Order: sequence, then structure tokens, then C-alpha cells
Amino acid sequence: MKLLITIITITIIALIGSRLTFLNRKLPLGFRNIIFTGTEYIFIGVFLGKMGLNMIDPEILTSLEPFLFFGLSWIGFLFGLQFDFKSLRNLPKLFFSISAIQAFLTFLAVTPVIFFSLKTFSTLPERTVLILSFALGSASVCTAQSALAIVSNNYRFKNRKLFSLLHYIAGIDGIFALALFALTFFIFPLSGNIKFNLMHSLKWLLLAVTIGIITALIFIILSRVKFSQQEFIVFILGTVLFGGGLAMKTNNSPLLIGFICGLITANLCRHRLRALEMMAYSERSIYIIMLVIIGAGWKLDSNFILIITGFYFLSRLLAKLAGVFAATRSFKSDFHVPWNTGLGLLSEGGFAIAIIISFSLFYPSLSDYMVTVVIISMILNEFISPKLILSLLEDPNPIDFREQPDITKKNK
Amino acid sequence: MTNRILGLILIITTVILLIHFDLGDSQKKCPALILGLILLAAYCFGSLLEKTGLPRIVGYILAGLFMGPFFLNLYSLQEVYSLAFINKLALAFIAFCAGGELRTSNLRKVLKSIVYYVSGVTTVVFIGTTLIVFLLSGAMPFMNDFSLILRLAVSAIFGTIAVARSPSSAIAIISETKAKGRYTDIVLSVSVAMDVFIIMLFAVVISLVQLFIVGKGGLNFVLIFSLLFQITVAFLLGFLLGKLIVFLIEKIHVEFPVVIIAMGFIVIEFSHLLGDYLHRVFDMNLELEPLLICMAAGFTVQNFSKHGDNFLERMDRISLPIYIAFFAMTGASINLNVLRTGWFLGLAVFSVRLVSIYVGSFISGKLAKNKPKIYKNVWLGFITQAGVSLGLLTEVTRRFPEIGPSVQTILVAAIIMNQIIGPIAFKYGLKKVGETHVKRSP
Repeated sequence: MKLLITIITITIIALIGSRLTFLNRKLPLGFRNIIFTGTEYIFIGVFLGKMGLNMIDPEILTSLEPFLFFGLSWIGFLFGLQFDFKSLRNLPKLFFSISAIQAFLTFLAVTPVIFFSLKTFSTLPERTVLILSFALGSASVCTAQSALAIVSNNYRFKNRKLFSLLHYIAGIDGIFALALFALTFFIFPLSGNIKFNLMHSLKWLLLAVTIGIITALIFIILSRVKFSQQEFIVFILGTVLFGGGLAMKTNNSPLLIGFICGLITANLCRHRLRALEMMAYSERSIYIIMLVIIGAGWKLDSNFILIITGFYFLSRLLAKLAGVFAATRSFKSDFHVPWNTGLGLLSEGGFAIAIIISFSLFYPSLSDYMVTVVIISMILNEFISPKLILSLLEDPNPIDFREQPDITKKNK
Repeated sequence: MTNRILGLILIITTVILLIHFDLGDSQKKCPALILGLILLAAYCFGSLLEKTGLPRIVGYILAGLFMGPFFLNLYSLQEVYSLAFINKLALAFIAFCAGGELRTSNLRKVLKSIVYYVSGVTTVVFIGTTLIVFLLSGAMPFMNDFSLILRLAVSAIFGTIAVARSPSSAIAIISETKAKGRYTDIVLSVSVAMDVFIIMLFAVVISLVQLFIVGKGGLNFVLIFSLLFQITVAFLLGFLLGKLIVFLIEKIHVEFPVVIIAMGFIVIEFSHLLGDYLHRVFDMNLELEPLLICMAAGFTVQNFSKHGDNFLERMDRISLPIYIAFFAMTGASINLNVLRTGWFLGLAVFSVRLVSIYVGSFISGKLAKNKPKIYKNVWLGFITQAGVSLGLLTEVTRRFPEIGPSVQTILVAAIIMNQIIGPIAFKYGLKKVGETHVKRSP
């Protein structure tokens, strides 16, 4: 009965959520951004989970685990599909260098801060502290485009180039986060007590890459001949499930495998855009369900983690600020980049959540710590981000929507 | 074709290597992997089989069977059973589609035929199968010690289950071949109507058999009344669900195939839970037929709103993965041990059923004054058998544990044959009457 009610509830939430998670122009920008990123679904999950009604209890969460593998594989695939080298080559190299530098500097700054603060304020074993630091370090790299989208949808401003830089970094730095995420898995084998073993780690990496390549090849081979829309859904669904399932079976990361698969598909399959469009269409519902699940599994029972969250938030803020500052001063750009441009990259968004869920699947005992840090920091970041972005842009003026033609009426 | 073969080899080799080199956690159950494997491999196999003129769904069933424990052993029966919820979702989806395909405007045109076919085929198949099984009862060891009347009663169980059809297979073939026309309407409507009718027939036969086997009971009017009540309630609930779907389409603009499948799942789970609850608390054997509810809901959307075609079109967009998963899992659940032990008697039942269906539909079609093209071929659409028959068999085993397993062995063997031959015959029939690949009206 409990499972039935859970399914009903999650279905209703996803149904309403996929429709309602859009901009409400009457709310302040920060709240709009929180709603836009779907953060509120975490709280719905919290309400339904162990900290609330306990409707989604640990048993149900375990039975929902395959969905998380599927969802992460979907997100990874979709993310990988966006990296078509031909298009990427056309973008300025400068942007790429700035993105890479700020990403690695953020990781290098946040990871030790988390490590030392955990060593100081917690009694967790050293290995656990290391894994947590690396996991949070890689999640801290991610920047979401949501706050930028909110601002550009509501304001007119002059310095478009700066905005493009921010947009580019937010679009691409997930790839560095993913690389660092893979590095963490590489260094810390997935079974609890195993010490670092190069062969073991290489086997893990080789398996991830091989599975990614195989699933991509399957997709490419199947989509080489003429197919219908229905068949294309089978290819996508089958590939994502197959990749996610293989990840689950081999104790590998569905996010990483999905990404490798998507990356290869993006560059070798001529139906990339079609796949991208179709997958992006359903991403929202999958993401909402994942947020509800992550919220349901969240339990805040250690006070020290709030201190760690504070350190995480501050170190990330400073690292982004310093990272972009260092990068933009190392590479001269033909437009003015303010010293505090890094403040425009605080929005953390969905990919950080995906990374944290991935870690939680393999290190369940650390799940609560990671989720607490990232969720609280994400809420703060989503709230302040739009205002900070506005402060960077020259002469921002709110768009008067009364001047705009009513698109909905036109469509009707 | 080469691409499909390459794809199939790659998919299956990957899983074989994974198992052979023990690269994964062998104890870990991975429903996502099995589902992905089933979807991709069965799709390739179905596409390849289509090139030979056979229906894709036969390919899906065979792929599920070949990858299962009796051949490649890529998954166990337990792992397949752990995906039972997918079957429920698929059944709900198919039931919605089946209801949606029934248009009152078309039904009115073929109503007379439906009445004739349902009554005619049921009578001939029931009597024919019962009679032949009764004559063959000497060859069935479990009936050796039975009296003649008891043998007749048990034979009637065979006769009843032989009447059952598979609307799911019919709808899948119709969807695959994009069939439309009078023949299609008759086969689909009769299959759906038979789904309702078989429940009633089963109740009557079971209560009579109970009288002879257990020695108590009689024609259980309470049971029959309760069944009638259940069917009425199911239709009523289906109507309300249909109205809710119309509301969602009109007001909320939902991505409704996903929501509708979820609704179907909820209906199925709710019906079972309600049945359990009523049985436990009030000792009432009232179990709403969830598929009837879903069918009635689809029927309501089609006939009591202006969204019928839109509804079907959108459902059709996501139908392929659902059919693949459903039929491949049907194949994966086939227990070949049962076929090995019961194939001879199963073949006999299968043959009798086939002949009875032909005779019954030929006579019914003539009486209904159908065109010869239809009444000579309509029997081809009535062969498919699947879920309902297996469900009724489970009920037989539950009620009569002393004969249940033996009856089950023979009938499962016959159902497996019908599962494979039925879709092939129906596709052939559709082609013969020229109703395949008809453009649907906008």
C-alpha cells in the first residue's frame, strides 16, 4: 500500500512539477531561480521522506535505486550529447582556458578546505574525510545556467560578451567536474575497505570507458538505417537503460558511462540533435523525480555538517572569484572582465546534484553529509546568484513584458 | 539488416562477456540492465524477423525466450519476475489503447457481427474443446481414476480457457501493421468483448466443477452476481477515469502517455489491494478487473470527448518500447520444461481449439451475413492467447490444487503455441483481407 501511495504521490508531483516549474514573474529573482531549478522538490522529498512523513522509507528508496541508475545514465548521456567537437571548435579558445582554470582552481581550493574542516570538526575516519572532500570538491566545480537564464529573460544589458563568457563557463565546466568526479572514483575504489590499487582502478576506468563506447556503438549502429520516431525512442531508452544497468552490475558510475556514451554519440552520430531534443524534453520529469528521491533520503542529524556547509559555501564562493580572476588575468580578453566576475558563477544547479547522487549510490554511508552540504549551499547560491549576476552587468534594465507580444495567444 | 544483426551481436556479446569474465557482481539484480537488454535485443530480433514477413511481436517473444534461462541464460526467471511491474504498466497501456480503438461509430456497424462471433465462437470452442479433451481424458494420467462426470467437468475447464483471447496481442499487431477496416474492428471488438465474457463463463464453469470435484456448492449465483457487480463497477470507474483523463488533456496539458501509464499501474495495484482488503476484512471475493477499468477509460476518452484520435496518436508514439518490453518478457517467462512435458496433449488442445475457432467463426460470420473475405479469415485473428488465459489457469490451480498443476502443464503448452502462432496468423489474415498499412483519419 505504501509503495502504491508513493507512486501516486511521485506521479502527481512530477505531473504538476513538470508544468509548474517555470518562471513566476511576481516573485523576487532569487526565489524565481530557486523555483526554476526545481529546488523545492527536494523539500517535497524531505516532507515525504525520513525527516517528514516517512512515506518514502529506506525500503522504498532501495527499490527506487534502479531508477536512479537510469536517471543518472540519462543525465550523463544528455550532457555528453552537448559536446560536439565541431561546434565546440568554433567557440573562442580563450573561453575554454578560462573555464578550465577556474574549474581546477575551485576544486583545488574547496577540497583542502573541506578536508581540514572535516578533520577539525568531525570524528570521521581519514578515508571517509578524503572521499567526502574529493566528492564535494568535484561537485563545487559545477555551475548552472539557470540564474543566467533568469537574468537574460528579464533584463536588457549592454555587456553581452561578459554574459557569453559566463554562459560558456556554466555550460562547459560540468565536464571538468565530471573528470574530477571520475578521478575520485579512480583513487577511492568503490568497495568500502579496499586501499588504492592501481590495477583495480585502471580496470574500473577501462570498464567505464569500454561500456560507454559499446553503448554508444549500439546506439549509432541502430540509428544508421531509416527509423521511425517510435524506434528512436526505443534506441534512446534501450541505450540509457543498458548503460545504466551495466553500470549497476559492474559497480560503475552511470553518470560517467552515460557521458562517455553521449560524447561519442555526439561526434559520430548524425542524429545528435534529434536525440538531444528528445532527451531534453523528458529530462525535467526525470530530474524532478530524482530531486524528490534525494530529498526523501536526506537526514540531517549531525550538527558539524552545518559548519562544513558554511566552509563549503564560502570556499566555493572565494574559489570561483579567485579562479575567474586568475584565469582572466592570465589570458587577455578583448572586452572588460570585472575582477569579481566569478560571482556570476555561483549557481550550482542540477549537475552537482547528479554528482552527489552518484556518490551516494556507492558510498551510502556518506550520503547524508554530501546531500546536506550540497543542498543547503545550492539553496543559498540559487537565491543570491541572480542579484550577483545583475551586479556584474552594465546598465541592466528590467524588460517590460507589457511591451512584448503575448506569445501564448499567438500560438493559440 | 546488417546493422540490426551487428547491433544484436554487440548487445548479446557484451552481456555474455560480462557474465563469462565475471566483470560484474553476479549476485546483484539489475532490472535496468535486463530491461535495456530486452528492449534493444528484442527490437533487433523483431526487425530481422519482420523481413521474413513474420510479425515483430513474434520476434520479441522469441528474443525473450532465447536470452532466457533455457538458451543463453542471460537472466533468470526470478529476474524476469522481478520486472513484473513492467508487465502491469504495459498491460494497463494496452488496455487503454484497446478501449481507445473501440469507436462507437464503428461498433454500431459491426455490432451484429460481434454478437454472432462472441456467442458462436464461444459455444463451438467451448463445446468442441470440452468434448475432445473428454475423449482424450484416458490419455491424461491425472484423470485415470476420475468418474466420467468428473472427467467432463475437468474437460470443461479446458473448454473455458480455450475460449480466452489476447486483446494485447491483437492490439500490438494492429499497431504494428497500422491496420484499419471492418475485419480489424471485428477482431478487436470480439477479443475485447470476449475478455469480459470469459470472466462470466469461467465463474459459471468453476462453480459447477467445484460441485463435482469438492462435492459441495452448486451453481453459485452469489458468485455470478458478484462478478456482474464487479464488471459494472469496473465500467463505472473506467468511465470516471476516462473523464479524468479528458480533464487532464483539456486543462493541464500533461505529457499524458507517462501519466496514463502511471494511472493504469495505480488502477491495477489499487484493484488488487482493494480485493485483498475486502477478502481479509469482510471475507468478500470482490476483485475489480483493472484491465476492464483501463479499457473503459480508453473507450470513454475515444467516444465521450473530442480527444479520441489525439489520445491514440500520442499513446501510439510511445507504444513500441512498451510492446517490446511486454512481449519479450512474455517470451522470457515461458517455461520450456512445461512445454517439454505437456507438448503432446498441449498440441492436441491447440489443434482442437484451432479447428473449433475456424468452424465457430465461419458459421457465425455466415449467420451475421459478413462478406466471405471476412468470415473465411476472421478465425485467424482469434488464435492469440496470453495473459487472461494464464491468469485463469492460476485461479484453477489455486482452487483445485489436486488437478491444477496437471491442467496447467497441458494448457500452458497450448497457450505457448497460441502465443507464437496467433500473431503470425493474425498478421497473415490482415494482409489477406487487405487492411494493413491503412492511413488513419486525422
